[in-house]
Parts: sequence; structure tokens; C-alpha cells
Amino acid sequence: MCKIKSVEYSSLRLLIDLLTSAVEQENLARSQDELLSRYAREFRAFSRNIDPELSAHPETFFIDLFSTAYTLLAKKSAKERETSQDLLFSDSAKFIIMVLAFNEEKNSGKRYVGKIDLKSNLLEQQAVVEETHQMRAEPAATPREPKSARKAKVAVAATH
Amino acid sequence: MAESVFVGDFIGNRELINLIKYGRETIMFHSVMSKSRSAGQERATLFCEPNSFEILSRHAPALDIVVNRPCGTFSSYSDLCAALAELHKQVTNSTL
Repeated sequence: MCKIKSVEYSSLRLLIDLLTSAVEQENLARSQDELLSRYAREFRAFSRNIDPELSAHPETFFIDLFSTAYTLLAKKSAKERETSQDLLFSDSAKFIIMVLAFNEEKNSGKRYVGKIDLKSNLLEQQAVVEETHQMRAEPAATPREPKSARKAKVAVAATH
Repeated sequence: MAESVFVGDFIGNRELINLIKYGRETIMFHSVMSKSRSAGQERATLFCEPNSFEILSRHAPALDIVVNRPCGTFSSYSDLCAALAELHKQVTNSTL
């Protein structure tokens, strides 16, 4: 089974890639609207499954994060601008933590503000979870179902 | 073990720009491949052993093994697809 990424991971990766590319090409200041619309368009390509019942952050939160990140990178003060841009290239995780903090400060009490923990607990979760699912009853054959369907065992593994 | 290749992801390298912070550097193993390959099979797709995690578990905790769980046994293609779609939804909505 191919690797599946969470919307949280994919959205932050997209944010970093788009903004890094814009800074490298020195067109950050000229392309605010274009960057925001491109982020929203590409975000929707992998976020169709967002489900509030599964405690996922809404789309507006990720759009706000991108907007906050852009604001930090395009600040009028040269010193602040350079600090943010240096952090984006040297340590993207710290840059995201800064973006999350600024976003909370800016939008807290006004809009939805969520938290994203960048620290993985993968190493602490290594005990194999024994969870056996009851085999489902086989329904009537459909045209898509191969006649000689063999039982397929499926397992999921989590890596980032 | 001499007949197998253990496959994993290297994680936690602090010198590489990485979005996720891990507690330490290690290799998280997730697959076992058979070493046996003949010249006639060179272009064929190499699949991992069906009992990869069972083989890897014999070497824990010396090896770090990716967290995993069985999702079921399916004899129906449509059931398999439905389960994978649900799994995809759970993962995409999970935390980072």
C-alpha cells in the first residue's frame, strides 16, 4: 500500500515549498494573490476527505496559516523579513512553530485556531497493536469482482 | 536473515530540513525482501514478504519497527476497496 499523508503534513509541506520557491525567485512581494490562490487550489486536491467529525482542522485554518506565513516573510522591516526567511530555509519546523504562534495571536477569539504538534511520537508507539478485524461477510459478486477472488490480507503501517 | 533484505526509512537526521521532529536518529523498518533474484527476473517487480512484520518482530527491540496493525482479511474486492477508502479517510484526517 502506498504511503498516505495526513492533510496536516501535506498542507504544511505545500506551504513551505510554495513560499521557499517564491523567496528563491525573489517574487514574493509581487505574487501574493497568485500564491494564495495556488495554495488554495493545490490544498483542495488532497483535502477532499477532511471530516470535522474526525477532529480535523477546517480548510479556513490552513488558509489562515498560509496567509500568516506570507505576512511574516514579506514584512516591511528588512530585519524581521530576513529573520523569517532565514528560518524558513534553515529550520522549516521552527518556522512553522513561529507561524502557528503568530496565527494564534492574530486570530484567537476571532476565528478558528488549531494546534499542530510537529513532534512525532512514532518511536514511542512501536508496540504492535493487535487489532483483528472480523472478516466481513462476502456480498453477492459484482462485475468488478474477479471470479477467482483470493483472500487478501491488508495491513497498514505508519511512517512520515 | 542472510537471505533477506530489510527495508526501512531513515528518520531523525537533524542536518536535513525536516518538518517532523523525531526523538533520535534511527531506521524504521517496514518491509522484508528476498535476496534471491535471477537474471531473468531483473525487470520484474519485487514484492515484500507477506509476513514482513512477523520477521521484523523477531529482531525487536534491537530494530525499530514501524507501527502497524492488521486491517482485516478480505475475500471480496468491493469490501477491500471500501476498507481502503475508510482507511485513507482516517489517515488523511489524522494528526501530522
